[in-house]
Amino acid sequence: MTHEELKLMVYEVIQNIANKSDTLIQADTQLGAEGLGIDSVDFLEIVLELERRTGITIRDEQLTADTLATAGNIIRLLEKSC
Amino acid sequence: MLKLLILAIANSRLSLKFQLRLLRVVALIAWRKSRIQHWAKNHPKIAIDSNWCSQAWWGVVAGCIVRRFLNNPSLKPEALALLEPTDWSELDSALAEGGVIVATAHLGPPKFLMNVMLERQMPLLVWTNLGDFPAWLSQSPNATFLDPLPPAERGVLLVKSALHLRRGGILLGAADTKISGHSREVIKFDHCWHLSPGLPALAFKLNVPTFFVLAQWHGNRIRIKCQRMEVSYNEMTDEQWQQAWLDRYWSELEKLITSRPENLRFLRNIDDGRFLQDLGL
Repeated sequence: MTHEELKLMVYEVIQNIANKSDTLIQADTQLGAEGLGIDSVDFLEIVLELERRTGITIRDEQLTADTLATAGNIIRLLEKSC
Repeated sequence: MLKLLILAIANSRLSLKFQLRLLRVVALIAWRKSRIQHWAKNHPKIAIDSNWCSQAWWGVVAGCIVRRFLNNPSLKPEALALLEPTDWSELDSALAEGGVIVATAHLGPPKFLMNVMLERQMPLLVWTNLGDFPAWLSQSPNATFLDPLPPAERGVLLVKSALHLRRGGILLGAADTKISGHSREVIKFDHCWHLSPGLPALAFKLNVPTFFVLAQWHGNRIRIKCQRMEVSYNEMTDEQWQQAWLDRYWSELEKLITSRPENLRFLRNIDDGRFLQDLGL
């Protein structure tokens, strides 16, 4: 999967799970309370759905509070986990 | 005078068992000066009498005293000795098959269950307010602690918990605290409960079993109730199932609140809100 394909997939999953189909998602879009307002349950769904679609397994040591802060950070997390 | 009496008991060199027995005597009159009787008037469905109020008062203060023992490494064994034998066999069997969620609540003696589970040396992930217990405890081997309170940490809380469960670990957390923006509010017993969907979401999405586990006062001893919490998957959507999980969880809490007055920790503000704080408890 190319970087571009992964990026589009991440944006689509975020839009679907956060119910933000009208919102333009970009790499620097803030996902938490100060941005799209995604909560912990939605973050869980996003990560599990991305794992399912890509076949990538996220590892614990890669996760910090920042890791899920923006769409771009999630893309980097998946790429590092490949 | 009352505060001095409690302080004298709590700071004495008496054994914890004896302190708790003395506290029973103090409780016979102390509850009359507390707000417990006002709280009691609002709940006619609970059979409340002076004995009930005395037990509720005792439970709140006894919990604080036990917690002081738990927070001191040399006194901790005395606190843990209050525990009655516990049957962990069902939980241990489930753990042999994979990850397990232990759903607890803010009822009964505070931090007791966590300390017991730390002693069992299990692969434990604990959701807890890290400002709420001594740093030496957070160094426990085999255990990881996540604080659900800082909003910045909440985003990764469930994801980290999911990874821990997938590795076959135990997640210990309470669902009666707000860790998600979408918690369900239940206003009952003069208290606002925030039932968070985090634990049921993990149970549903990872298909891991949940055990309802709670340390409860039984007389002057502590009993751990450990039972598997079954919620049928009968043609329910993800959201309906999580609601059913929370209903089941709340019914356990309600049962305890209406039947065992010594475990009503949420009545902590039994006097002017600073009663126990002033005592250093």
